[in-house]
Amino acid sequence: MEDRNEEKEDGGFKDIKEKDIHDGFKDIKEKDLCQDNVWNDGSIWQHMPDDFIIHIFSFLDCNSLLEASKTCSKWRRVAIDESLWKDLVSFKVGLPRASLPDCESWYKEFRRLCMNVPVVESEVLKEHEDEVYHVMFSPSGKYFSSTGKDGNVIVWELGMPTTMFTKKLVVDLPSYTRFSEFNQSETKLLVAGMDMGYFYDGFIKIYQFGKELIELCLVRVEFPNFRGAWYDDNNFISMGRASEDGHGYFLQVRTHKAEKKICQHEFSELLKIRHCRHRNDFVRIIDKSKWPKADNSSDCETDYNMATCDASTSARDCDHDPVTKKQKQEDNESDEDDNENACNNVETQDKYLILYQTSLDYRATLYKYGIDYNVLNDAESGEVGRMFTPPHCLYECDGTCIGTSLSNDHRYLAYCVRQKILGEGFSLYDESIEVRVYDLQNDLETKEVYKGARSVGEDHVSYIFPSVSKNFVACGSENLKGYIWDRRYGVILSELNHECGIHSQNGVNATAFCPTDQEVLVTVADDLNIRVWRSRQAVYDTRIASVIDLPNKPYNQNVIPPSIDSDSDSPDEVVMDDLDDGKTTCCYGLKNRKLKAKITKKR
Amino acid sequence: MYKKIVPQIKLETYEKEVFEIDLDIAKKFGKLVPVLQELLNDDKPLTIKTINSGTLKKIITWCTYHKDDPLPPEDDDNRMKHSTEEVSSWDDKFLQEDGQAALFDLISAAHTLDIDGLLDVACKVVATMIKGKAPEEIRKVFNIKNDFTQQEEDQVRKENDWCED
Repeated sequence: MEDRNEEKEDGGFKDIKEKDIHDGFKDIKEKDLCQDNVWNDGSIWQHMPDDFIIHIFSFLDCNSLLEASKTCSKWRRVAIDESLWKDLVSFKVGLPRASLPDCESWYKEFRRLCMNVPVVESEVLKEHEDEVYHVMFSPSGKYFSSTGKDGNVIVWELGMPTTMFTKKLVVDLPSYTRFSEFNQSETKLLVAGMDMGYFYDGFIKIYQFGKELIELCLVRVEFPNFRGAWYDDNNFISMGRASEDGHGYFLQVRTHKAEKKICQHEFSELLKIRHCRHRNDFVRIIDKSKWPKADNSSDCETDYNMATCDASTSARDCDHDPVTKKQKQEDNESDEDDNENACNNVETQDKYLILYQTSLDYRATLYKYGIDYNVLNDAESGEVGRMFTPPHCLYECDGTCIGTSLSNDHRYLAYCVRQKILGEGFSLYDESIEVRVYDLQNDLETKEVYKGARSVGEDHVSYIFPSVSKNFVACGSENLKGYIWDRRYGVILSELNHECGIHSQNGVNATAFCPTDQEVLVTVADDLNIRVWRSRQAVYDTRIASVIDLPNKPYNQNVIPPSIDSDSDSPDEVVMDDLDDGKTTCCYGLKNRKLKAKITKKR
Repeated sequence: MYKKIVPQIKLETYEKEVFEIDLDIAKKFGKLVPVLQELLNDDKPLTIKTINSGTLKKIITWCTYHKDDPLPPEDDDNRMKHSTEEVSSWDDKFLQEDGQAALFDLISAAHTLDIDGLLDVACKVVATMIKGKAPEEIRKVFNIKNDFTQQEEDQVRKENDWCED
């Protein structure tokens, strides 16, 4: 067909007349326009030039375009035109075409945004008796552990459906648990919490993981907000006061067996931290060996193709994941070492430590420390040394950081920030929660700020833990909702509703992507519930036949929020109902009736 | 020959019928814009063999009706926005009243003469006829022959067996 752009202003009259208008249209005229038989055949729509069909298709939504592609071979070929799908992606993510990053196939990209985002609520897990504060997956993605106000730690086994694996009361009320983490080999579980009966101090407990959680040790932490973390498979990080008069503090690396610390590092220069009201101390260990390999790390920004999606889908079964297997073998080996030489086996791979600190003037900082291996290796002597190299500041702001988390490959660090608004004689926290992501491998803060999450109270700060995966960022919000963003586009892909109407100020406190399958997301909230979200593709693949075949089963009473104006929803009654329900309630809630209909139709 | 008050240009259709078109209307024909001055000075009509008289009449009527419409935004990024805008009832009736063949002629002519507004709205009308229909219904509406082999048809169904939320 003729190309409109070729036309020149100074083009001669004759040229236009003879060439552009006549030649450009010759094909259609002779073949289609003036031959009645073609008209009667009606197939003009089938055989018209691609340009025309594309123009018509550009006004179609995704579903209509897909239906149109099934009519004939020509329409099928035209319907996968990349410009059409780039338009649809642009419209869906609300970004102009020009600012979209490169993409191998916009058709596949659009499909990914529709089908591979965990937005379908598949299970509601009810076992906690009070607000749930935190959730974290085990490295293999097979388990996740939740902690909360009821003082329990509960380990769940991810599956179809997800079931409770074990439950342990860690502390008695009103003390609570606030954090838990598996070690790499999934043999031990670290649980941190606040012991209200013990001078309001924090504690870290190490459990041997199994059907029964066996307590291996208890460490008192004089800093109530410190949560600890695994340093490697055997050693964890704890914190203490540096001296009797309370100035300064130290971090130490220790095993559950060693009474004395293997190695510790004093932070005397930061003693002001003791007096800060919101001393939110998160510590994470970055294992550089987990980073994507250098040769494909550059691809990571562009490999939004189906191959990736397929890979993540097939990785759903973690036993088939070669990386996990390899890690497991290594871990088993180190376990054997552990038995022989328990105390002093500190791994000396390349690691960083991420530490969050606030100062008295509400300056929040995320520091990255290198680790001095010479000090670590000298640790046998029991000498106290400076195990960390001078810090490198990753992020700094006036305000506070209310939660951090790492992607499964330790490449991305996500953190939730509430900015401080300083005025004349007052200072308040901004109600909006910003989620930011730092690319540790390339050592730069990614430009997107993930906005939308809200908090309540300008003078009150609650912990909210974000989550980041290769393609997504998720975070809770104190308006009964969680949000999931596309990591690269920075736009909200979906809201994750935790509505139940029990509490007036419900927060979704933590989110966690399954490390081996980012199409599984877990959220925990003040409504006592844990919700598992899966992608529409995952739901579709497994067909979740039970839902479709049981139309009389209550659709999903746990998912449908009680109507706001209902006067019978006394909070206590609702809670009692839930508890009477007995054990874990798993529901396959297909909120998406369209999808349900589609599946049914297919069958 | 006497001077006209309204400047006009002459176009000759497939049927060799000559139309005199007001300059205001002719300005909407993107293709003619570069040569309008020459056409004004030329008494000989410009022949466009690919457009028939009925179609040109409709185009003139459409352009006259939409003479005072604001110019559409140039920005290509706004294209998707159009898809959410409803086709006005006048346009819908006007474009469909003569059947699909006439509608197709209009799309072809609008493409040839580069009349963006008409091309968009006509294509939108066709898109509306596709929307919300199953493949078999679409084939029926447009009289499209299913030229897939059974194998291909299964393949297409499998490939596109997903949907937007």
